[in-house]
Amino acid sequence: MIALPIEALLDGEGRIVSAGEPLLALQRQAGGAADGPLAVPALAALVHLARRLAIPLSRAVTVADGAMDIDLWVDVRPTEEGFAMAILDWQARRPHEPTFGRDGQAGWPWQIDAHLRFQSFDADAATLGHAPPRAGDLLTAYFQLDTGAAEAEFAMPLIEALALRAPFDGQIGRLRADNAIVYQLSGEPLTEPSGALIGYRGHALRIEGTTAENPASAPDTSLFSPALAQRLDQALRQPIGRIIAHASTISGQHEGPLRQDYADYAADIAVAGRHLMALVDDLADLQAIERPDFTTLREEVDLADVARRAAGLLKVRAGARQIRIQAPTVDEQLIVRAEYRRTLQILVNLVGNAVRYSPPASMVWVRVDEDGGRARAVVADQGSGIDPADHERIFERFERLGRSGDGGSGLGLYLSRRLARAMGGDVTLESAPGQGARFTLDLPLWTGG
Amino acid sequence: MGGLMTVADDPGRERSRNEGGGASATLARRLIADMQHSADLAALTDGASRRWPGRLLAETRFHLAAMVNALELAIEAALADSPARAAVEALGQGYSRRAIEREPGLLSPDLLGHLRRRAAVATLLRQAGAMRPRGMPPAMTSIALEPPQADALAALAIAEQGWCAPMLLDAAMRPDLPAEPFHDLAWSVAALLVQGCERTAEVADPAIIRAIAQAAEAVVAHHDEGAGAIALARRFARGVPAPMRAALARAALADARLLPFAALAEGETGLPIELTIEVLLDADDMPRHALFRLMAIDDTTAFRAVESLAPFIGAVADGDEALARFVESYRLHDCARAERWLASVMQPRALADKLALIGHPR
Repeated sequence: MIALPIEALLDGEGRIVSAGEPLLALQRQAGGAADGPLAVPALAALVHLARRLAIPLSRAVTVADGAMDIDLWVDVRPTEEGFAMAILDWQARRPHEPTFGRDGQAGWPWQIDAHLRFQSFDADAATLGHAPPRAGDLLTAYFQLDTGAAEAEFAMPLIEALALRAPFDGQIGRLRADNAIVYQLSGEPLTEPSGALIGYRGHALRIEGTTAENPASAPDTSLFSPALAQRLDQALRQPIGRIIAHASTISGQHEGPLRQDYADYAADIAVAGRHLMALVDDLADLQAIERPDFTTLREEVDLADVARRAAGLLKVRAGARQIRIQAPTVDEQLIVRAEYRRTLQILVNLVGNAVRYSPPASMVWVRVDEDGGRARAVVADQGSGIDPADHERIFERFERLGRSGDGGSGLGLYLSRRLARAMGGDVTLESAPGQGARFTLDLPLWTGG
Repeated sequence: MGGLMTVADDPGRERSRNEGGGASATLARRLIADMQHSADLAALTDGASRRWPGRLLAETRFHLAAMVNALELAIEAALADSPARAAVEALGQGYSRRAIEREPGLLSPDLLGHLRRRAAVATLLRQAGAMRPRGMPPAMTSIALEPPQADALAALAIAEQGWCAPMLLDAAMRPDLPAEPFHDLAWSVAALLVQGCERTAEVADPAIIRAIAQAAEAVVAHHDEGAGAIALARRFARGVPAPMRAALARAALADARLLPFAALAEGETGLPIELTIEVLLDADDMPRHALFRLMAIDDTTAFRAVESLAPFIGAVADGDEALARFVESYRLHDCARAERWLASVMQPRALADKLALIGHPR
């Protein structure tokens, strides 16, 4: 540890009269004598400038010290006898070693598409000491993203970067196959010339040790930092709201007649805006749900009534594609212990998905019943069905089974299951290709206060 | 041209009343004087082949005038009670500022370069303060810093605010310049005062010249460049822990605070602050792309930065299209290319000049 400031006195010719030991060590390394002219070039230049201009100087200089550079902050003040020098700061570092934003980092390179599926990587089992990912695997299925010991400010760099299409660094990822193997991921976005995000490429650097005392029991911390959630809200919600409002006004021709194609463009903009708003809502929900202290209310809720309301909310959308929704009849009642708002959110999501993926002129059934002391709401459709191999994967974050352009965020089912589990229930799926899908919301029955 | 109206100092005051009459004539004379100096500055800067748009000229002129006023006051104070002081006082307050407008050739290229960068920093700070939505805090304040860095950042913010004083040509601004441009400007003011005293005296008095020189020496000897905004920015950046630099650099750019951004970039890339600011003001997008990529600036922040810089880099005329083009080409500018650019600007100047002569690609 070097004690600061390191002081020195020089005569009018720049010869050392007295100096602290660290400065003398630099002087000796530069080939100068302890009482000779200052031989460290950067310091000598500073004294020369102070002499020439007869002005005090206070600035940073870099001097070499073997394989290291030393960044100094130096004051040089002309005096009647010569110069007074004081080194106020002393930082040793490797010569110009950047800390971020560069290629060529250690670790194996990878590339993923916009759905976070591995497209390419340069790694094999022999080098890695474990199985590499397979092309098509989800990055989030291969790595369990973790906040590690990172500051709360940027808890999930990858997810935050994904939302902002920004480069990221320092994302901790645990190998799902072996929780003790920890990587640090960094990457940058890949975009089409039009600006659309097509994926990320980056490096995975294996880091020593683990980032938590007990990885197996590491808490599932927030996916988004509060700062990002706030930024998303500030940056997106208000402008998108304005876009939707203005586009709706234009498409509705409330301010006067308009060419039909322009009105149609505005209607498209409004639809796209609503999709974006739904995504922002989902992300905000996600942020709330992933917090360790997230809880739901325990209310007396009529599941049949909620199912009827969810069906009613989606009736117009379904009608546009001649899809009929058969909801519980008005005399049905099934009281459960849950939070009303969250239950409605889950059922709107399940019925909405059924409408989205059902063929035109088909049926969607929403039923409620009691089974083994539990309440169930079942949403069934006549869509193309889901391969059993994908039944669990479909509940993962941002998982859309390769579907895109349908307005979904890939968060709805993940949120629904998390919400159901927070209320003591679950969401499950039964389906097979060509046989439609049947989602079941399971909740505890109301047993009194 | 961004000419400025002077408020208290009136060039017309030096003329006889029958040269013109009434408020409109006074106003016209002020405007003409302002335009003339702006034109002089523009002519000087043309030789430097850099963009110097009207807003930058206006801000530069204000900084120059206000710092010259301060130096004149400092030299006058250092004269104590002497015939020299009486002679300087007889020239009238603001004499040096008016005189330097008549002698723009006194300004060295280095001083002009510093003034240009200083003006850009100040203009962006004014603009960012005016344009930030009410209730939205600056991005840098959302990053928690330990007390030494927080104090350094606060000191820097105070110094930056000093650069954003109301733009009055007869006001004084602390000349918190680096040593070389301070030395240049202080001796320029001293020379103008000597010239003024000689012109008004019937017989040149060597004692007056000697006294002004000694006063200027005293002012120069008491300068503290370490208290200037540029030095404070460097001190701040040096203390920032490495893991926080990227986030702080992005936040500084989002807040249009060029000094902390450039200081952090200096620590990260080795590019001096001055060069980093020149890159930000460059008419060519390529160096900006490279700098932003090296600093891991995301598309959104890059877009906002270029939007702020648009008046200085010639992107205003093309409007949003130029901004969109910038971001599109930024996305294609990868790290390897940015590294090559950095290597080219860090190589010895003589080598770069020779390579350019033989058509070596950058």
